[in-house]
Amino acid sequence: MHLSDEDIAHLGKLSRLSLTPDQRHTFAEQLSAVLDYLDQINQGDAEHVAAHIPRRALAPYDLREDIAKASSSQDLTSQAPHREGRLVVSPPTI
Amino acid sequence: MDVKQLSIAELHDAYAKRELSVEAVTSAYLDNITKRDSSLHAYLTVLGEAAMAQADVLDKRLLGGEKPTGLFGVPLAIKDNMCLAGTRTTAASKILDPYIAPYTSTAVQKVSDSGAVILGKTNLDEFAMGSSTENSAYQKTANPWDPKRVPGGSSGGSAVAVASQQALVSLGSDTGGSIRQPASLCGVVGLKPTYGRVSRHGLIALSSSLDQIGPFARNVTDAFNVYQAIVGKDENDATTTEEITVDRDVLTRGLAGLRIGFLEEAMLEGMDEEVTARVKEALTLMEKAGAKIIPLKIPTARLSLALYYVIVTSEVSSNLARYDGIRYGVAQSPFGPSFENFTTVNRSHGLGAEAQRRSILGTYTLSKGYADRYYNRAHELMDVVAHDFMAAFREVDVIFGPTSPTVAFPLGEKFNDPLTMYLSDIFTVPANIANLPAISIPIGFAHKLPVGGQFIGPRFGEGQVFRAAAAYEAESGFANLSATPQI
Repeated sequence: MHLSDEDIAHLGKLSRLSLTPDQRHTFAEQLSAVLDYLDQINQGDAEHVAAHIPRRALAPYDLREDIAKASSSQDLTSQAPHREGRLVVSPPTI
Repeated sequence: MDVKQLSIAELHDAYAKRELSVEAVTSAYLDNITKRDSSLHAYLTVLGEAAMAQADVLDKRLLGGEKPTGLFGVPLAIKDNMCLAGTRTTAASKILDPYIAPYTSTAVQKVSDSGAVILGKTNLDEFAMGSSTENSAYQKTANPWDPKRVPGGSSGGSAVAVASQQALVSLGSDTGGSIRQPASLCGVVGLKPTYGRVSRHGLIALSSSLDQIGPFARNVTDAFNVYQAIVGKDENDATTTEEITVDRDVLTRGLAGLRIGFLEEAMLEGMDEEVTARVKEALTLMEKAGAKIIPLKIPTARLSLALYYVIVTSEVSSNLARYDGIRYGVAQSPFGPSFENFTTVNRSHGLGAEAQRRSILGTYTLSKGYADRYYNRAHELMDVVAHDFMAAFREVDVIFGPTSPTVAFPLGEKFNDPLTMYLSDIFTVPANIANLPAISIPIGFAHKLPVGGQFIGPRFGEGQVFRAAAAYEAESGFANLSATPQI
C-alpha cells in the first residue's frame, strides 16, 4: 500500500496536525513501508483461520451500573490552559 | 552494609529489628539518584521531599510497633504515565508539560497504601510509544551497562532506575513489551500481568485494548511482592477482574515436572547467535532440573506484531485526540482564527514525531472503507491468536523463549527506521495480543550485555509464570545483577 504525500496531508488534516512538506514526504515513505508489513493480516492463512473462530468469544467484560458521584469543578477545570473562574474558555466553534 | 543491595524481605527484617530506618534507606536511594542520574537520566521528576516525609511517617509507625509487610518502606519509582495527585505527569510529552495530576491512579494508590516510598516519576517514550525511550520529549535515558546504548522502552526509565539501584522496585506499563523488553536489555525482572489483573485507572492511555501495568525488580520475589500489591478489581476500570490469589508457595516449587513449551517460531533467522545460545543453555539447565521441554508450534503467533501495530495506531489516534489544548496541556495564546486552527497548532507543537506518525496511521486504519480491513480485522485475528495459545496451554504449563532478538542496541541506531524499531518487540507482543501474563528475567550475557528470557503463562496463570521464573532464577543464580558499565 503506497501512501502519497497528498494522502499524508489529508490524514494530517483529519488528525489535526499541520505537517511541513518534508514531514509529509518522510511520513509517506515510512508509513507506506509499515502498511506493507501490516497488510500480512489480510493475506494467506490469516484468511483461513479467521473463519474458524467465533468472534468476541474470549473477552466479554461486565460493566458496572453508572452511578453519579460528586466531583469538584475546580478539579475538573484546574488544568485547562484558558479559563475564567470555573469555566473553560475555548475559541469560537461555530 | 550497602542498603541498596537488600531485597524487600531483607529490608523488612532490618526494619523489624530496628537495624535500619525507612529514612536512612530512602536517603541512600535519593543520594544514589543525585550521584548517578545526571548521566543516566532515568527520572523526569524526583520527589525527594515527599519521599522523606513519607519515610518519616513510616518510621513513626515502626516505632508504634507496626510489623513491616507488603511494600512497607520500599523505595519505588513510577513511570511518568501514571497519575499521582499534585505531581507533574507528562507521559514524556511536551503537550502535557504543565499538567499536574488532580488525582492518583489506582495502581499508584495501591503501592502507596501498601507502604511504598515513592521516589519519583521515570522517563519513557512519549505516551509509551517506542522500544528505546529515545522518543521522550525531555531526555534520552542511558543503559547503565553501557551508557552509549538504549535501555529499551517504553518503560526505559523504570528499568534503569531499578538496574542502577536508583529505586528498589518500580512500576511500568506494557502494551507490546514495554516492561519486558527494557527489563531484558537492563538485566532486571519485568512482569506484564494478564490484561484485567491490574487497574489502568489513572494510567495515561496508549492502547486501551492492550495496556497493562506491572513491576520491575532485581529478583523474582521482589517482583512478586509488587505484583501482589497492585492486582485486583477496580470499579474505575471495567476490564479488571476479581482477585485470584497467587500462593506465595509458587516461588519455591521448583522445576521438577514443569512442562515448558518452546516455540519453534522463537528462533528467527538473523537473530543474534549469542542470544540464541543463552536461550538454549537456559532450556538445557531447566531440563536438567527436572522440567520437561516440549517443542510447540503456534503459526498464528507470527501475525502478532502486525496485529499489534494496527490496534495500537488505531487506538492511539483515538486516545490522543483528547490533547487539544482546551481541557489540559499546552495551548497557544491568543486563540488564533478558529477552533480547528487552535487545536491543530497545539497538537503540532506538542506531539512528537512518533505520536504524530501513529496518529496519522491510526486515522487511516480507522477511516471509512479501511476499518474493516485493518482495525476490525485485527480484533478478529487477536481472538484467533488467543485461541491458539489457549490450545497450546493444554499441552504445557508455560512457554519459554527470548524476550528480545538482540541485546541493547546503540542510541540512535534504529531511531529513524520505525519498522526496524517495531521488530524489537517481535517476541513480546504475542502475550499482549493473546492477553497472557509474561515475565522477562535475566538468563546471562551476550557481548557483555544482559540477555533476557521470557516465560509466558495461560490467562490469569501468573502463578505458573512466577513458579517457572523463580525456579530458573534459583537454578541459574542470575538475580540481583549489578549494572556497571562492562565496556
